[in-house]
Amino acid sequence: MRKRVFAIAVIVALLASLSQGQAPSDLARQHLESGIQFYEQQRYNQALNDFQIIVTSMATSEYADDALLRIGRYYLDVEEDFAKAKDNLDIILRSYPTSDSAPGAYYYLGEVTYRSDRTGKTLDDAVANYQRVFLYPDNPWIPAALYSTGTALERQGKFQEAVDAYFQVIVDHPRSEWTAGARLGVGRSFVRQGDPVEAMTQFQEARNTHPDSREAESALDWLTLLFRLYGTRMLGQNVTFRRDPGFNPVLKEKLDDVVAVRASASGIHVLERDKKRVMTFDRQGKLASSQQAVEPYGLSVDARGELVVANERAVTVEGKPVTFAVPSEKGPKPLEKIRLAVRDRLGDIYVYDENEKKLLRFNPSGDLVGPFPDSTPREILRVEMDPVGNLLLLDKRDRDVNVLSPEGRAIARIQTQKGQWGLKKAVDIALDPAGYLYILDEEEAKVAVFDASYQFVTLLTQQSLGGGALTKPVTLDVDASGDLYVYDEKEKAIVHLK
Amino acid sequence: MSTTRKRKPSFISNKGLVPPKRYARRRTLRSRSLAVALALASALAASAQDDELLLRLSQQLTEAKVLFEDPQRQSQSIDFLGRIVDEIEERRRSGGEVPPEILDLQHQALELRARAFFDAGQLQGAGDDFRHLLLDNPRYALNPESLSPKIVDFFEDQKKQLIGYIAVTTDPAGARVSVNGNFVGITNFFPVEVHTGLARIEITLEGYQGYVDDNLRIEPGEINTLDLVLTRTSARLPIITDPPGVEVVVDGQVVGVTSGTLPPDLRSFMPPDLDPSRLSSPFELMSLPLGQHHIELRLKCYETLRFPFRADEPRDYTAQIVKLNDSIGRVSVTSNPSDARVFLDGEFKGNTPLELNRVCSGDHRLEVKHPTGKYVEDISVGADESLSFECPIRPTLAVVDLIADDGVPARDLEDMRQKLTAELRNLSVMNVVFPDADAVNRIIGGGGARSLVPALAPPTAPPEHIREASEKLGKALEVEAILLGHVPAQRLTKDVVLHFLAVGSPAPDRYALNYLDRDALPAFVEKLSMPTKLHGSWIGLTTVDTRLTEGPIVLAVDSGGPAAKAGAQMGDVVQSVAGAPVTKAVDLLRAVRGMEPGASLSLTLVRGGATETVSVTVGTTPLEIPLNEDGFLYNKAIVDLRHRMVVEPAVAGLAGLNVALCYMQLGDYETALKEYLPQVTLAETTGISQGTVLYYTALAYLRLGERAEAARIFQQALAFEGATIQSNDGPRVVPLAQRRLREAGR
Repeated sequence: MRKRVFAIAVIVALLASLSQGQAPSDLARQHLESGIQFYEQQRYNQALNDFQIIVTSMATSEYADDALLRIGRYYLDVEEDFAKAKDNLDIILRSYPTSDSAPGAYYYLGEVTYRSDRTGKTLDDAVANYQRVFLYPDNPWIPAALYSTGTALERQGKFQEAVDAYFQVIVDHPRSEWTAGARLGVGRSFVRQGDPVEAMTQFQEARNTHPDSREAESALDWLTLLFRLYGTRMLGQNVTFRRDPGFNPVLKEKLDDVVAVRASASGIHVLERDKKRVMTFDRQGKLASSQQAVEPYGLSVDARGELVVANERAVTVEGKPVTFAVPSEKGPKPLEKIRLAVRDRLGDIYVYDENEKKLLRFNPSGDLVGPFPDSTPREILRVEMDPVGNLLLLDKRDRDVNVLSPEGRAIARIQTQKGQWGLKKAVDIALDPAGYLYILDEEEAKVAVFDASYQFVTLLTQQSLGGGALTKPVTLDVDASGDLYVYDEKEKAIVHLK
Repeated sequence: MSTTRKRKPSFISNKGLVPPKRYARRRTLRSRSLAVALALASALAASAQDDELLLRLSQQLTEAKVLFEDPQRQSQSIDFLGRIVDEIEERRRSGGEVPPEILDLQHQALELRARAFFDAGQLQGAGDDFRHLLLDNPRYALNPESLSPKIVDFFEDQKKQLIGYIAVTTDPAGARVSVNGNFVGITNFFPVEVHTGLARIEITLEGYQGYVDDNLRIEPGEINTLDLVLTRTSARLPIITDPPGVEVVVDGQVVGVTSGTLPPDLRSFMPPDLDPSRLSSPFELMSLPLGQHHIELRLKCYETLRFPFRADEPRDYTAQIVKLNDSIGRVSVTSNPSDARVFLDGEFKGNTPLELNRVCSGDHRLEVKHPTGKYVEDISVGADESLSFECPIRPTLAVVDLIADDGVPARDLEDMRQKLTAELRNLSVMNVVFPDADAVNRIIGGGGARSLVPALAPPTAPPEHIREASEKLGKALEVEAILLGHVPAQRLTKDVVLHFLAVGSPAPDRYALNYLDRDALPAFVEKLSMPTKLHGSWIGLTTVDTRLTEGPIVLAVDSGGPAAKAGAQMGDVVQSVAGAPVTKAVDLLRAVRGMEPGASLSLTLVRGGATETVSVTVGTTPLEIPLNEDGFLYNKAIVDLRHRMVVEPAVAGLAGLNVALCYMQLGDYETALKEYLPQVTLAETTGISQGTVLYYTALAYLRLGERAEAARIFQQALAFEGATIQSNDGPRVVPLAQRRLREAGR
């Protein structure tokens, strides 16, 4: 039906052009402008129609490459159909290699690879495509390509090279839309290289040069986080959090049986198991929403900020429950004791089932990919995913935190009960935007902080956590600026520490 | 017989001689036709026709002479000569002035024909022709040595009938005598030939009453003598000046200039206070009409003298001996920089600092020229006035042309030109000149001024063309910068793209404006007027924003910097600046940038819960030009900074560094490396320092592909731990150099 409608549209457009005596290039331009307008209004079907008309019937016009680029971008950004995006972009490089859109095609091909990469192994291909943008001198995609090269290198852990790429954006294109982001990238990379002071300088520079940008806000979070952890120590002071008295959720009844607190851009999310609900509070502690959940056991926030609720027999993602099954001799066996769930950037869901005693990975369609990292039975208390897709597992038995790459390779292991931090009973783990790991000790109300390389940074004692504000913390999370949100079971309240 | 007369002038009625009738008789039918033809010719073509006539008749005369010389055929020459005579006569009758060469031809022909007639025994004809000659010129004479006495006598006989003589003496002599309107001579003269009959004689001498006699009868062969005392009607005033060379103006009219030296015989008559050797010879004001006159004596560098003179009687007056007083001033010229060449009214006078002790009073054009620019001023010097001029040398901008694409209305283009010219005259930081467009095109050659604009240059123009053309133009016009406008084919908007090019730069700055926007041109001129900043305000405080405090937190304090001296410490929270609350680090930055160096800035800091206000004396930080910034005029910065390298030696290094950066921004790494960076030496301190210079030097090598050299110098830069770029607070050189080393190694 859709194809028939499209064909009719093509014929109508052609007839219209013939009757009006319009030159094909004029008509193509009009369709392009119309398509762009529809796209901006998010009327993607109409937009796609316009672009397809150009590609199909006016392939020789000077706008055909633009249309293809926009189609490719649609599939990439809207439908996230990487294969279709790639197909359209490849046409540009085959049929219009010298057009203005060719560097854009290379850029988006790089994006296709980047966004579809899970393990980091294809990031080199992404970088290669970004670099091909430079084959076309003085084209407008260069700053974007440089920036994306930086992000790809950053994800690969090549932080020095990432800084180089970001700096090229900053120095060579100081007024581009990518410059503020590049400054953040430099800052992040310096954080990962263990130079928080330089990182702070860069984040502040982002605020100074782009004071009204979205990046300025993000930089402020970074600065807060870093200064709290490093700046205070540079001053010879201990890292100290104080309780925010303004965060005082007013509820009809006290919170109880909170098993998870999670912070995201949309607020502070609290999972109450007995009451079977997920509540969301704003930064001032005001209740924003409350949603019923079916047998909820676990709560996480994915890379896009979506809540992932582990229900006993399903995982609720974006409000929709998804059930999972594993193969058995008797056929697919549904998971019935799901306790934890996290979702990665590409939509794979990692589910811990207490019956299976495994962390199982399912693709976005719900099909089992396999046990993660292997079939070894485990008792997992908490699962977290860092920004690059590594998984952190808090083992229930030994209370160790194991860090695993997306392929399941062991990256690090933190023995929480040993070392200078010596936690008595680790009950929860959280990650801040810098990738710093916070491990909560329930018994002594302490938090051990490790950097993104899993090196110990500091131990937050009861005194430094709000001056004894915590008695029996059972779950915590860290927001973008490093503030802590802790549920204290004794006080039956969410404590905001900043 | 002669008649001597001495009498006062009187008016006699005018009666002229009647032309001989034989002229009317001698016109042939052919001559008549020719005369008509000639009469019909236009006055404008007369000159060309006369040339043709002269040539042709000369040839005919030559042929006629051949016949004349041949005794056997001499008689045949009569007709030939007759044709010549008649044709010229027709020409004479057609009106307009007849060239004397043609008249001379006629006279030659008449004489030859007369002689031919005589030799043929046709005395009537001979007589007619001789009389014709004599009527044209009463002083006509035959050459007796080449002719037979008979013909000479015959001629003299004709002359006697037609010619009388007149001799005129006057008191005073020197009068001009005309008879029948023809000038005869200056009195006093011996008898001269005049036509017989009633004649009108006019005798004139300036300053004297004229004499006219309309009824002077001239008898054949008789000498008429006139001896007259002329009645003076005007005064005579000699003027002697010290010095000579004085312009004499009488009643507003320049009548002459005194000159020469005083004759020795007059020296004893001069006043004793005058130096006779300095006096001019007497300048005679002859023929001064009776009455009141205003006399003015003018000489450059002297006071003009004015005096009235009343001529009551027509006589000689006593000489006016006048000494003019000097009218000079003194001009002292200094310049920055010094050792500039000083020109006064185009004449080289010396180099600054310069004292000119004898400058004529009046208006002058002072030009002070230096390799980095010039200073031009029109000055007015009064007598005995001492003037001092401190001449700031400024770069000069040549506004070359506005080039329009086809289709731009000429009226619009002219309007744009006028607006641009008017607005640029407001530019005070540069001299502005408007050279002739054709001259500019000749100097540049090739594509002309258009080729200075990259978009308009011919595709075959070599890459160095713009630089070389700018250097040619700069040298020829003595300018440091060039401005060229391009008006593209217009649609709805009226756009002009101005291209500003420093001499020696590889590419111009481009500045587009809509000329209908009345603020656009003033904004451009203001941009040109803004100096390129080499220093900015600085206090040596790095702050960061966090959510932990209301105000920014001090992250670092530059030791030895103003904030450190005031007592600021790391960890302090900035609460307010100059009394105004501060919530962001950028607020503090803006406040500091808005202060002048040396000003006092109060900061309220919170430390450990306590508040303290400190007073910070704002310092300065060197600045680099912003790189890759749209709208920044890099060529203009080059002009500014090249000038400052000379006039401000203290900042020569920093200015040179920035000029190098401008060239690098324009893609000319070679010039940056060869001409500027090697000359720059900065202190080996923190901030913008020698490490900065090394960094950019290495970067230039890297851009030129010389990786090994680049790596070597980047390595040197690593030793300068505290060096920064952009400003003292800018990014550190060391990590940048490390990054570039990696790039150089790839």
